[in-house]
Amino acid sequence: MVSRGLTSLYRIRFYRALPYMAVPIALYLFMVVTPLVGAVVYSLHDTFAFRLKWIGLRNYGYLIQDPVFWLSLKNNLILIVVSILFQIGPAFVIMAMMSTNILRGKKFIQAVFFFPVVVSPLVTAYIWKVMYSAQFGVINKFLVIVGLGSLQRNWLADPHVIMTTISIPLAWQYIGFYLVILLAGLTSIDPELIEAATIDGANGTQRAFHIILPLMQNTINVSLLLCISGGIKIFDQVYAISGGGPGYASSVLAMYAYNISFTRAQYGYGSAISVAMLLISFIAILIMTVMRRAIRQD
Amino acid sequence: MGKSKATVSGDHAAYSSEQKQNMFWYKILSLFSSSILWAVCLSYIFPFIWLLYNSFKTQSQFAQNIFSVPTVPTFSNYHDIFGGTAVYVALFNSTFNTILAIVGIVVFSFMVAYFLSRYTFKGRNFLYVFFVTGLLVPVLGLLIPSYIQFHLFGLLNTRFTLLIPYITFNLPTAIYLYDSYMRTVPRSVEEAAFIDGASINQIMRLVMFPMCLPMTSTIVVLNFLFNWNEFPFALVLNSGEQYHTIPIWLTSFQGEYASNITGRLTAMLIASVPIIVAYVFLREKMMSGITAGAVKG
Repeated sequence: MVSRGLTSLYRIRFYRALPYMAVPIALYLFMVVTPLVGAVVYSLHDTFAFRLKWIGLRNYGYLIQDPVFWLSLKNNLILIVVSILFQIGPAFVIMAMMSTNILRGKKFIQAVFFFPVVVSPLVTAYIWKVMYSAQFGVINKFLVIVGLGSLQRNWLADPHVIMTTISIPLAWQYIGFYLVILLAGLTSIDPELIEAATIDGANGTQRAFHIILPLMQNTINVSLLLCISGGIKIFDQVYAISGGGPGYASSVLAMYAYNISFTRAQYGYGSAISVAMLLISFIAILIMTVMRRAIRQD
Repeated sequence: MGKSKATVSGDHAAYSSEQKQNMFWYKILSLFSSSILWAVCLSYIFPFIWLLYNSFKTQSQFAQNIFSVPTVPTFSNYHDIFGGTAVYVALFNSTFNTILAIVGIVVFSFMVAYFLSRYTFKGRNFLYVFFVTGLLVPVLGLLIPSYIQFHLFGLLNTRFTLLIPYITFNLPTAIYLYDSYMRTVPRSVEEAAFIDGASINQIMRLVMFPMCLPMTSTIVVLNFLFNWNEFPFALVLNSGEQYHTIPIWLTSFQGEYASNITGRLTAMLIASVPIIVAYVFLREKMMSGITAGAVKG
C-alpha cells in the first residue's frame, strides 16, 4: 500500500500529462470521433462525386424499404446464430473432453485448432473458395469418395446454398479461438470440484453440463458477446468467398455498405447503412450488458 | 492435484459395480469421441498441407489430379511470383505498416496507460472512459465515413495513410492491457526513484517500461497479427498499387490469375509464411494474448 505522504507524487496537473497524450487523443478524434459524427452527417447528404447535397432523412427512408438491407441484416443474424452454435458449441465439447485425462496430445490438438485463428481470414477464405470450386473442388470430390455424392452442390454459384458455403469455413476457422478462451476460463475452476464429481460417478456429459457449464457462466457470456460483435462486423470472409453474391444472396451489412459506396459511388447511402450497423452493434452490446446485470442480480 | 489423483487411482476397491460399469462406458465414449476429434483435426491440417504441395505443381498437373502429391516438384509458381515486382512491394508495405504501427501502438498506449493508471489529475476519469469506450466501437462501421473524410483531407494513397487507422484502432486494447498490467506492478521502485530525484520521463523510460516488458511482448505479438492480416481499411484507403499490402496483393490473384489456381495457392502460402513462422515460436504468447485481449469486456 502506498503511504499517505507519497500519494502526493501521483497528483499532477492536467497540463503535465497532456503532452504525453496529445497524439493519441488527436488520433482518436480524427479516426474514431469524426468518422462517427461524419457517418451521421454524410448519411443526411447525397454525396455524388463528393459534392455534399443536403437531403435530410431520405437515405433512411430508402433504407427501411430496401429489401437488400433487410436481407443483409438477416444474413448477419444467420452468421451470429451459426457462430454461437457451431463455434462455441464444438469448442465447449472439445474443452469438456480436454478437461478429462483420457485425451492424448492435448497441446497438439489445441495448436492445430488455433492455427486458422491467426492466419489471415482472407487466406483461409480463399483456400476454401478453391476447395469449393466446381471444377477443381476438393469438397465435391471428397463427398463422392465417402459416398455422399448426393450432397454435391454448386457451392459458389447457387444462391440457396451460398450462406452454408460461407458458414462452414467461418465456423471451422474460429472453433480454436473459443476453445482457447474456454480453456482459459476452465483453469479458473477448482479441479478438485471436477474430480469430486468423477469420484461420485458423474460421467463426462453430466460433468460438462452440471458442473463446468454453470461455473463458466462468465466466460460463456464473453464468448457470446464476441460472437455477436463478430457476426455484425463480418466482412473479409464474405468479400473473399462471394463478394456478397450471387446477386445479393450472401450480402452482409459491411459488404452491402462497401458495394453501395464503391461500385455505385453512393457514399451517402453507404454511410446510412454504416450508421445502421453502428446502431445495431450498440443496441446489441446494451442488451447484453443489461441482461448480464439482470442475471447477476438474480 | 497430484495427491488427489493418487487417491482416485488407488481406491479401486471403493467403487461399486455400478460405478465400474459407468467407468467402462465412459472409456468407450471417450475413445470414440477422441477418434472423432482426431478426424476433425485432420480437416484442419489437410487444407494447409494440400496448399503446400499443390504450390509445387503446374496448373496442368493440378488439373489432372487435385489430390496427388507432385512426383517432380516444380518451382515455376515461385519463379513467376518472385520474378515480378508486386510481391516485393507488398512485402515491403506490409512490413513497413506493421512495424511502424506496432512502435506507435506500444509508445502511445504505454504513455497513456501509465498516466491513467498511476496519476490523478483533472480529466483523468473522462480520458479513461474516452479511450476505453473505443473498445466498443465496431470499426468496420467507420469504413465508409473515414474513406470520405480521408478523401476530403487528401489523405488517400499516401505512405503513412494506413498508420492512422492501424495505430488508433489498436490503442484501446493495448491501453487496457497495459493499464491492467501496471495495476499489478508495485509502486515502491517508482517511489524510490522519485525520492532520488528522477523525472517522470526517466521513471517511465528506465523504471516502468522495463518492468512492463512481458505485457509489451504480448502487445507486439497481437498487433503483428492484427496489422499483418488487416484487410478492409487497406482495401479502401490505399488502393494505389504502390501501396498494396499483402492481403490486397492476394486479391489481385483472383482476377488476373483466376485460371491459374496453383499460382493463387502459392501466393496464399507466401502471404502466410511470416504468420506460420511466428506461430511455431510464439504460439503460447498468441493464445494468451488473444484471450487477454478478447476477454477485456
